[in-house]
Amino acid sequence: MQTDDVARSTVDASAGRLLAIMADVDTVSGYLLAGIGDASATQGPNFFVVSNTTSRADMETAFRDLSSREDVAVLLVSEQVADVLRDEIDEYKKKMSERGPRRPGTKASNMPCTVLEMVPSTQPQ
Amino acid sequence: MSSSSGQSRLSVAPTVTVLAVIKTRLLGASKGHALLKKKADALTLRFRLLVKRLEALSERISASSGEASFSMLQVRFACGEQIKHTILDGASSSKALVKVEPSTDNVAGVQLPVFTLVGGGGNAAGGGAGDDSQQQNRPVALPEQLELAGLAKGGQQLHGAAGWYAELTRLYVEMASLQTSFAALDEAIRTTNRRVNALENVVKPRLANTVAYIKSELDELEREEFFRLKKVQAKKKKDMEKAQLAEQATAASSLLEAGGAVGDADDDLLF
Repeated sequence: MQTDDVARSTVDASAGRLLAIMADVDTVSGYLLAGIGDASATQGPNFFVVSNTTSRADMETAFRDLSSREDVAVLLVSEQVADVLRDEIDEYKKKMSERGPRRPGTKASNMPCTVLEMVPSTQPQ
Repeated sequence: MSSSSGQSRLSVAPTVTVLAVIKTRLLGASKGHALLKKKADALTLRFRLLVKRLEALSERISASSGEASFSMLQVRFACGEQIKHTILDGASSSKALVKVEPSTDNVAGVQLPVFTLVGGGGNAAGGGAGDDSQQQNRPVALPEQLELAGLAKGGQQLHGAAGWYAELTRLYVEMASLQTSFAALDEAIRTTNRRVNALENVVKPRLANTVAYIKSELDELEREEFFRLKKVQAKKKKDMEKAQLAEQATAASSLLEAGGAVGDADDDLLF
């Protein structure tokens, strides 16, 4: 399997797809520092900040938008967001699994976005 | 289980050629069954390994997340709460430095998804996992706008946090690969097991029953033929015996009619 294939290259990163994120402001800031942030005029930002006042409807919209974007390969959602959008996330995962196993012919670039629920953190020692 | 394995067979003409065909198919089914079983075993093994890796990865992420959150706290402390806005604003017009390249890996005939991290600025190509505690010390190139932000104050904290989150990104990309592989493998194992069971419980017994049927029909035909042959032979024999008896009978009676056969020679003597 792809054991240590999480390679890094200093090649121009215009190839490849985005990592999107929906989480609280601190978490999102952190990942932006790491450089995953993107916001083009046409597609909008690939991150969504969730606060205590964010409405469920807004969260839902953001989730649907980000998870259906062709240029997004992975969507990270925080535990907080996952709790609220439990149904939508489960439905999305179900839809993905129903698409069936990947046939050898399908191009990897057509793979739909993978939704990852972020692992809750443990207190630092 | 139902009675399907004991009773069903294909409906075919019970001939010798058909028997050969069915036998070949049975052989094919047996080979296929063995191969599929091997495949299922290989996949299951991979699956178990995958689950272990996933668990380990999850723990690492959990630990790193804690450290990362803490580092962000330090950033806020060092740079002031404004830093959040700076970061968010800065990102609103940027191009992502770090992206993901999805591809597939063929394992035991199953396409497994692979996500490869692309980009990451000035990171040294530090292969392998390395020690987590050193991660945040690796120089990370911050997005341009944020470099400037760091010059004001708290640059060290910014770099530290960036390092942690870069590490987390790396881990999550790996998790994306593993998690989707998990789903794909699970499905593949189900399918393969279904086929194995189908071959074992339906196809092979059906073919075996067909072979048995053909064989018994052929035996029956042979016996009939044999019986017929015997009958004909017996009839022939009887006919022959009858004919022989008749011959003997006519021979005997003609002898009797002729009477003193011995005297025949004397008649020729003329006085």
